[in-house]
Amino acid sequence: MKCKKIAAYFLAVVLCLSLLSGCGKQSEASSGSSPVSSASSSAVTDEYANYPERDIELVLPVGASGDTAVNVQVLIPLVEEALGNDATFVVNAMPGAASSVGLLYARDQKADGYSAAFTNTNHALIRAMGYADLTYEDFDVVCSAYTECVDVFIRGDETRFNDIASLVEYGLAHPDELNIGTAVVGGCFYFGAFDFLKKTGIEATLIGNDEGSAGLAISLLNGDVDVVITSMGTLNTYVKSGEISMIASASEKRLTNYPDVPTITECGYDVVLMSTRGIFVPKGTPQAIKDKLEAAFEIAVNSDAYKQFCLDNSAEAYFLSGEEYEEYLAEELELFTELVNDSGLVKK
Amino acid sequence: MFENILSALASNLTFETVLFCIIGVLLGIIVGAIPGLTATMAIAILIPFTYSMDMIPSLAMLLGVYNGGVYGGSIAAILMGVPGTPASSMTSLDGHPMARRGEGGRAIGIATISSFLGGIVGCVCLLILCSLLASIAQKFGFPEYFVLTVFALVVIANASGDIVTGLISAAFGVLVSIVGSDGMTGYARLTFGSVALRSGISLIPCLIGLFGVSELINQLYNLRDEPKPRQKVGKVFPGWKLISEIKGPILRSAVTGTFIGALPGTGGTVSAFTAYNYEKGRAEDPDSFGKGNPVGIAAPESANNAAVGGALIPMLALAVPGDGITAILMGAFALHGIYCGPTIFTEAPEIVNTVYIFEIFANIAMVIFGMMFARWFAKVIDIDDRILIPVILLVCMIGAFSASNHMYQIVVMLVFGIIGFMFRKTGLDNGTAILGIVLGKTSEVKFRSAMAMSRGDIGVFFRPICLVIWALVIFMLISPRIGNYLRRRKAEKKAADDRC
Repeated sequence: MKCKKIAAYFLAVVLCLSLLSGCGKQSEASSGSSPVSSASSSAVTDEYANYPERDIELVLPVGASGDTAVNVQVLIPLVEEALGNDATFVVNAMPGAASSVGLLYARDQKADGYSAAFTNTNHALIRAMGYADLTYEDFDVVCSAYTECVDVFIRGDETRFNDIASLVEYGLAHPDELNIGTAVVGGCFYFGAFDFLKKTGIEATLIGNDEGSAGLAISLLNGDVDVVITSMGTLNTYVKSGEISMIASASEKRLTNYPDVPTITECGYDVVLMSTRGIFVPKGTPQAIKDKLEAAFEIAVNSDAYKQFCLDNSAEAYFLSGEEYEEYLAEELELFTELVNDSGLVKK
Repeated sequence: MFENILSALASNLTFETVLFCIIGVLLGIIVGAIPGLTATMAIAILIPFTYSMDMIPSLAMLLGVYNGGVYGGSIAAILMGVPGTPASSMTSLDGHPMARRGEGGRAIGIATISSFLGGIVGCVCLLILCSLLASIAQKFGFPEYFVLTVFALVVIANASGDIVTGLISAAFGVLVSIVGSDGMTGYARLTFGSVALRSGISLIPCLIGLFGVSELINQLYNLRDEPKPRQKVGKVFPGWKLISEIKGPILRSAVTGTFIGALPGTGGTVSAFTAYNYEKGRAEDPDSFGKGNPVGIAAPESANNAAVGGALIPMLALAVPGDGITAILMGAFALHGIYCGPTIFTEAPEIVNTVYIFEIFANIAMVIFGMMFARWFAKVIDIDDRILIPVILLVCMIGAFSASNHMYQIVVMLVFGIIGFMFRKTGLDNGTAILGIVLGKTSEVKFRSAMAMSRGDIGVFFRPICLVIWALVIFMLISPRIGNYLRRRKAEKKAADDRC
């Protein structure tokens, strides 16, 4: 009998624990829509001095284990500190369908300043790839946070080419000989590789999959692919060890970590493909709150700690104000819509 | 090398780090024991907390969670028949029947000892063979991985008894796995216009459905008022005699587990399946598997814990994570400024040694906790089924939901529960279907990548490493049959001798 009781207690504890862990990430979402909290927020509509008065839900439309999530773990404490008022962000990871699942959810949240989304460039593909009718225009734009770009990598002991010029020359002289490894087809880094081939006119086989940057490094070192065009990510360790060399970056200007490596644009081909992360809030969020968030993110993004973390993780801190970022997003949407149409990935 | 480890041992084993490692193991066991909550998730939740901690204690804690989580999955698998993690699916096949007949404590004891021994073998391999295994893993390109998936599917389809039902089950799993965006072109396949299905059917809800919910439906179906056999809690330690009987399978499975775990992208699930089916095919009494054979618990548990050590090899040496947990572990390391990859052995050798030490320590903590708590865990089954089943179902639902915070995951779980129940009734094999789901898409993408890479030349599947794997496929297909043949001949001979 006693044992039965203990067992029942044990079961109760397990159940409570599972409830806790199951709801932990979600509880803020439900509290956001409860009538009590919405009443309290309408009481202070004219005065945001105490913002935030409760937790802010930050939707992460990608998995909780990726490098974006890790970056957010570093950035958010800095933003919380800058925002003051014991601000707390609760990160809610909702991956799926090229980030459209999380963004559709974030779009429909209350525009009271207590929900926001941390986005990546995948959202520029959502409409073009046919996931959902959703663009950045469905949100109010706060600012950008960091960016990473597509780079071109070859083996350290490659003898056929050693820079963009010789690679293009070789590729044009040997049509359909090169294998080019890249990230998952239909993702934003894939389009960097696609754009590179389009602009240079090289005929090559693009092999895209989701093995991650270091996985591609191994395909490259094995000789299964001749060139890798993707974001650097964890591949930087192979660049450091010299097994792989980076010959160009598809960024606006040279990367801080690699000042000797030219951009593809410098080499004469207009390929700029950056994946920029930023903050969106539901449309109609009060301007005063957006200003507060923007100011706090500006301090956090420009802090030395964050800048250094980004550099160590093959990215760059990249702050654009709301207006600048909105212009950037308009160009980005145009670029990706065009690339998707050219790629023929989506049946018309 | 060993002096370095000893000095790292002296500097790292402080009260604080040991405490965090123990907390990590406990947390891992609890999370692993709840179906649907995996060590991956626990680490994701812990990362913000470890961010403010020092590097060594947080590393100790994360490794504790990893090891504890992989082991904890077996507790739910044994007691409820619902595998807590994908890697413990096979453990439920023999663990649960054993628990139903009143030997839950013993089953957990066997799982604990096997996990411990497997984990230690994995650690030793990590310690000694790290660079060797990493250099092998580095040679695996698209064709090698494709042949490897063929190997895994053939092994399990073959061992699930009837090869026809095995293949049907595997094909079902593969069909499920290709729902969603085409891995090579991004086209939506079999989604019927649903946005939710564009990212495919997640493994966790499928697993909970096929194994867990179907088991619950099965129990409801057979629900009688007769009292269940009461749990014999006296014998948690399986006894030296049994351990010496199952040490062969444990060691073989540990080696299999380490090796398969070291190949990025396969991990604990595949190693547990392979180990289980290899032992089943090899056993003199394959029919006793699935009915509570101790080897059926020992083999997969040893393999999946050995795979932990294995999976750390490509993570540390190549910056390529072996499974979902190591992927997130790498992110956690990056938060603390530790960057995995070929440079780690020269730039941060002390980190590598710390990983070795806490791997071993976490395994020791795991075996102590497991043996301490097994009898209490086992009491759970004594609860009346009419109370237990709804509670477990609720836990399953929460687990499925928290896999990605979507309600539709619960629907997926229930649908697969019904499918799984029908599988049981028709003699199809849930385990084979799960492996099909795990490997289907990988297999397809690797095959197509290999074909793209070789411009359609099929010869690419016969490169040296591929040939070795093909040889293993043939060996796995033939060896149980030869064994049976020899045994039969021996028996006939004996019968003939007896007659004389």
